[in-house]
Amino acid sequence: MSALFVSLLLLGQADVRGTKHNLSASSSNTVKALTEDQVCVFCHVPHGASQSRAVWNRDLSYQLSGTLYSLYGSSTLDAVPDRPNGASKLCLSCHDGALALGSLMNLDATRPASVAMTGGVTTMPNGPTRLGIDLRNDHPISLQPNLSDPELVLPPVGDAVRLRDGAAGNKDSVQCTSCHDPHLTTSKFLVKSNARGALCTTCHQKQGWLGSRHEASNAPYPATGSTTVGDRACLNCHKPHNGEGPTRLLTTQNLSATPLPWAEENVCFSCHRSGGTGVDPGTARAAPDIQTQASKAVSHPFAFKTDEHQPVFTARTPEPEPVLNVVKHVECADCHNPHQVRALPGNVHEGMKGISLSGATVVDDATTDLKQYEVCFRCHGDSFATFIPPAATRPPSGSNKRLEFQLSNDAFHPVAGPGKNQSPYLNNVLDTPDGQLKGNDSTGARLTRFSVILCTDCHNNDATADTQGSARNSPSGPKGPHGSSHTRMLRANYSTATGTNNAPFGGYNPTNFALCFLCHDEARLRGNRSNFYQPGGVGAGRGNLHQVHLVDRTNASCHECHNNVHSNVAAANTDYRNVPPGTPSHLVNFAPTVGRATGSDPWYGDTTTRPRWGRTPGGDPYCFASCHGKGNAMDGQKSVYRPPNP
Amino acid sequence: MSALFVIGALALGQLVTPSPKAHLDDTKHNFFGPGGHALSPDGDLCQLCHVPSPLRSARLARPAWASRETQRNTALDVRADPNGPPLSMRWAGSTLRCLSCHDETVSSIGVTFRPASGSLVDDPVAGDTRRREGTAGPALNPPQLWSLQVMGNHPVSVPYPVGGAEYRQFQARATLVDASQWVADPRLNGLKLHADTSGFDALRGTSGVECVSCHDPHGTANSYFLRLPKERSELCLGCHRK
Repeated sequence: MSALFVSLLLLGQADVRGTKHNLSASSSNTVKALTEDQVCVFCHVPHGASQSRAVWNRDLSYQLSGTLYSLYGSSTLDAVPDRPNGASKLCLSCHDGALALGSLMNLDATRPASVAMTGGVTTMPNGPTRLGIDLRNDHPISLQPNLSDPELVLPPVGDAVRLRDGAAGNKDSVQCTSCHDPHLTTSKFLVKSNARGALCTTCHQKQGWLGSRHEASNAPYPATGSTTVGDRACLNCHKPHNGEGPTRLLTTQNLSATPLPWAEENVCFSCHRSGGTGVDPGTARAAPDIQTQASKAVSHPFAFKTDEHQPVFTARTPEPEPVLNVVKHVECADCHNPHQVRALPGNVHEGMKGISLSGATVVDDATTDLKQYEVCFRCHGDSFATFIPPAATRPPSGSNKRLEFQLSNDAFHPVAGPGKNQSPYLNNVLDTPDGQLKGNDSTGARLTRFSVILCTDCHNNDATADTQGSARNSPSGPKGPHGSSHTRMLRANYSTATGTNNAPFGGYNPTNFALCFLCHDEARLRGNRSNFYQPGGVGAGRGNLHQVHLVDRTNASCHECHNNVHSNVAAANTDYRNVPPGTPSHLVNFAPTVGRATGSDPWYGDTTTRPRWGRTPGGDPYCFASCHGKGNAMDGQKSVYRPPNP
Repeated sequence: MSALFVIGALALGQLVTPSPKAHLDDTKHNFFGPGGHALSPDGDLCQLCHVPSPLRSARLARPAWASRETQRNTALDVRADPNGPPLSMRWAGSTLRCLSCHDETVSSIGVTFRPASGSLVDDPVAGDTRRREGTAGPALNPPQLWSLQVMGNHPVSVPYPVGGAEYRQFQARATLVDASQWVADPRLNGLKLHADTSGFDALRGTSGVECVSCHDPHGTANSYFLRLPKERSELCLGCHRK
């Protein structure tokens, strides 16, 4: 028989002889024996085997050392991997690279025997199949599943995936042979196809996976490949062997280009980068390019730490890290659950955990959607002092946002609920002649004094500044607080420089306050739709004190009087006088550069240590600060104003 | 049908054709030596294994080795679960005849008796301490020692799922055999199955694997008395669909 025929025969064989596990000399594999022509003998021998069951032809006694292998471990692993047992021992006797491929117990009555391999190969050559004795980056084996994890199930009876013999010989353990049958001609010897994650999901049934963005995506990955994100499923992010990120078997494979170095964010950036995936014909979009956002002037510092993140969306209890308060870090998975995430306008926080306004841990589940701010509170809430830039460099606004957005506060931007200021001026310009707000909220409804806004309506990709109102309504993206060219990751420019009449405020420039004007219509704020108003006018006959302060007199910045636009709670430089609880205080809180007024308060006769905003005994709002104090231009004037809607 | 397929099929057909038998006289089972007068007129050589029926029925004056044929033992304990019920397996007649020499008390190529380890998992290979090589050892193991586990050998006296019959595997606590893992009828490949009377009462009378399933002690054209060549593992694949 000619060599050609032999080769053709081998190629066409639908049994173990047609696989890489055919190490016989007659195989067409690269790794094979020099002359030995038996196939089964590299694993099995009918006599003189190491044990009867499966008559193993490998001397496995070197594995008896309890310290030979480094075993997989993870903070979310409930089961306890044993040192390799069962059939996995036989697999490892080649794949751990420790024992020569040709080292056999018995070959033609020679015991032990050594089979010479071509090319001088002894142990398994380096490559993806050589797992080594460090099994920390491989799917755990020789462990009995712990079903206390609600996302873990046993394979159904009759499934190709099976629990196999464990240490006690019971069919109770995950072994190599649970997923691989070394005799099969299938890809990677898998017992069944892993297309769309079918193999993995036999046991790992992740809540909310079906219908999630990643499950449903038809975006080609690699970008020019024939498989899609949905096809590859689990394998987009996870690598069951030799994962770059060992703990959760994550991969930074970046199939569309060259592999990325290990870092949690690079798992996501393998797709979420420019050209990371092809365009999904269903959505006409490729995977949003978050990597570019992360490289902007201001971004969540994804690269700040590696290997510090603890899972958030695991269903196991106790949760490893519900509130971030151990090691400062931020990873994509701190805000998104990649097993459940939906694309906007769906819930990008599907399946996440967060911290509620009351400080409780809350879970996004089938019945309750997590509120966006509840995700933000994980870091920007009670643990802000640890997680937001350290105190020495913390900007004055560094504060506990959970406390700031409490609905019992006097003043806050309406993130957790409608705001305290119910002036008709906070209606929509399209709804009422008195309206000052313009644009729509995140649901598409017009912004009004009853509206609730999102953190991301201000903190977002700067590309979304092309649209009035909520950033959600912008045609640009990718949306979200990943990165921005503006400070504080703001969606548009917002100058926090202070110092009235000094640079950069030699003159009024609306681009300094572009962020505010995305919702607060500049023309109306500077026109007659302002509550900062004195009937009859001041100075040049104008009654609008916003116009006076911003433009006409002092070129003040928003930031000088609304130093913290989240809330008045943490105002460290403001003395509120006669503002009973629940009375709107209009987000007036002074920048540190605003000093106290010397002398006595003309209304109450006392002196202050901080600039004062209050209400006169008659209820009219007034300021008592260095701007209006002794020695200044308005020294001695009672700086009261009488808005139409106090 | 493509030409390639035809060629392949022909070649495959060639591969599974049983090898022609060699003459017993030319084998190692001719204990009178190569070229010796093995098959003497009074049948000495055959009687080493085959007891003439008059002797069998008379139960008298039998040689010592022949007595083993009537023994039952519980030695071939290959249960996977050491906590499971013991599985009494008994040698079939033909296998018993083979073991009467090949238990390493007579032949150096034999079944290795090893101390019971209580577990198959960490059973040290050092169990070989009980091997007795060559012919210098005691002629026979007393039957009471046969309860030791026999490990490291292909199971014998086990049923075979001919035609995909729903046999359970030979373990005591086992699932149904996945018939797709076995050739439907290895006899068509030149291998031999025996009626199994070896202790599986529920399966009594079905077909099973014995030593002679793979070996023909009377000699074949292959090494080790194999019924199919070991090259390219044709023998193994004669039963196992892997």
